[in-house]
Amino acid sequence: MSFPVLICDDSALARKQMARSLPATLNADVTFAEHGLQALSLLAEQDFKLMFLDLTMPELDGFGTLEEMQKRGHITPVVVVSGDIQPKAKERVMALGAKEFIQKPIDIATLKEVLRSFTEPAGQAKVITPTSFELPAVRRRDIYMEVANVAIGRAADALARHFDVFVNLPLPNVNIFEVTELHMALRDLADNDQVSGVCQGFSGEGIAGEALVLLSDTSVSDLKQLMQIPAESEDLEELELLMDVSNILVGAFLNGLGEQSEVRFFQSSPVLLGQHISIDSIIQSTAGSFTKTMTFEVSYAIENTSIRCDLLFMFVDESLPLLDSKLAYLMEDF
Amino acid sequence: MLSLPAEFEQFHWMVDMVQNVDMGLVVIDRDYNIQVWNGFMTHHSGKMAQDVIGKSLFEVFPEIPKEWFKLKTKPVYELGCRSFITWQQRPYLFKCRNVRPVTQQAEFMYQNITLNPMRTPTGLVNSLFLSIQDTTAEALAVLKDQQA
Repeated sequence: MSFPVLICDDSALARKQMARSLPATLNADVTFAEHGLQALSLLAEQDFKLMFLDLTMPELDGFGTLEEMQKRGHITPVVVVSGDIQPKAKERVMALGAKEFIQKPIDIATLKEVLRSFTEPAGQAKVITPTSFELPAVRRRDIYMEVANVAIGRAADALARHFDVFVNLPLPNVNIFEVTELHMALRDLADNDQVSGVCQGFSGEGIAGEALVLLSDTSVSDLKQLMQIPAESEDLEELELLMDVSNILVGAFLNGLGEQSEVRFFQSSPVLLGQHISIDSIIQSTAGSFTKTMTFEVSYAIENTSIRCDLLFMFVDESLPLLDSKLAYLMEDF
Repeated sequence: MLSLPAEFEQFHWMVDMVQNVDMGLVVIDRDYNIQVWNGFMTHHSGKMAQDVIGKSLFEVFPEIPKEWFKLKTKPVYELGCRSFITWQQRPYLFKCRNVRPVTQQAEFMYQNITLNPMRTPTGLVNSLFLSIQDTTAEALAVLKDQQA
């Protein structure tokens, strides 16, 4: 008998990885959903014995999906599979009725352990007729998105632990930008607000780029209340804060990216681009000698505050083929 | 045929480089005790290696704010990533003489400090090393620019 499973994740790569990680002995009959709303309508149509659910998704995220499932009385057991590894995120999904929490990228041994509790105790070896299902096609952008998702989760977790807060995890944006497009993206981020900016170069095995952290002025004053160590002057306090936030976000993101691409990245000293300046002066300082850059854009927000922090990771021209080859294993079957 | 010198000779080279590189290198353990103090630190701070090794960083440099410095080491131990102290945040961590007292108008050496994790063979971070870079020229240029 086959075991109907629903996998809900916005990333094609994550859906594929999840489906392929299921042991053949499970004889899973897999159905895919790209976001919470789709999952809910599938749940209404048919019965699933198990559901794997991502947290950060468009339309309806994982938290919303769990809430809605409770309201509608769906009893399908849910295993949350997420890059959002903040302890508070886990607490929340458990409170919303999730049965288990698995960290991305999926560790096969952990998954097997979890599955054991949901499947009938395996008696004698059964004769398996593998159920075939169609795997989603994975494009290059899917890989970047999913890799970014995991790295962003690490960075949010680091920030959350450092300041003891809950960070709302955003959906990242991955784009190949020309110089002018990058400037447009920057302008979009800041609107008319004054910002403070810190940049930090990084490199690892020939893959190089720069990270840009932007904090709006309103965020800076809110963030100051989270500081543990008062500084001598207000200006110095802000500077310390900017440097710390930037370094923690960049360092943790690079760790996450490094783990998945098996490269150890090193960040260089943070450089202050300016405090309380207009976005145009930041833009002026981004006219480097590159033509194209692959940019991961993320906006972090800290819950119950007006703190918003924009993070841009820019990989320059010659790094792209190197990064591609490092992540090529994700394209292959395993 | 390629012939590499014996391992002990290579080891000597490493020690030589650490001692003579134009950058300060200091290793501290989890209790902030100094384990390594290279030539740059000896020459510029005037403190001899034998006088500082084994002692607490806060004992040798009482002007370093303890809680603040501990906070800076937090990402190194918890995340295993680098942490930084730039001259803008603190002009210097270890008071050193300006290396060009005649042509460079500064009372001390401005410093950029990087805190780097040091991993044991099992992957644990039990100590860290500080690399100290002389940024006096950059600091003076920026400060002059700001005044203008």
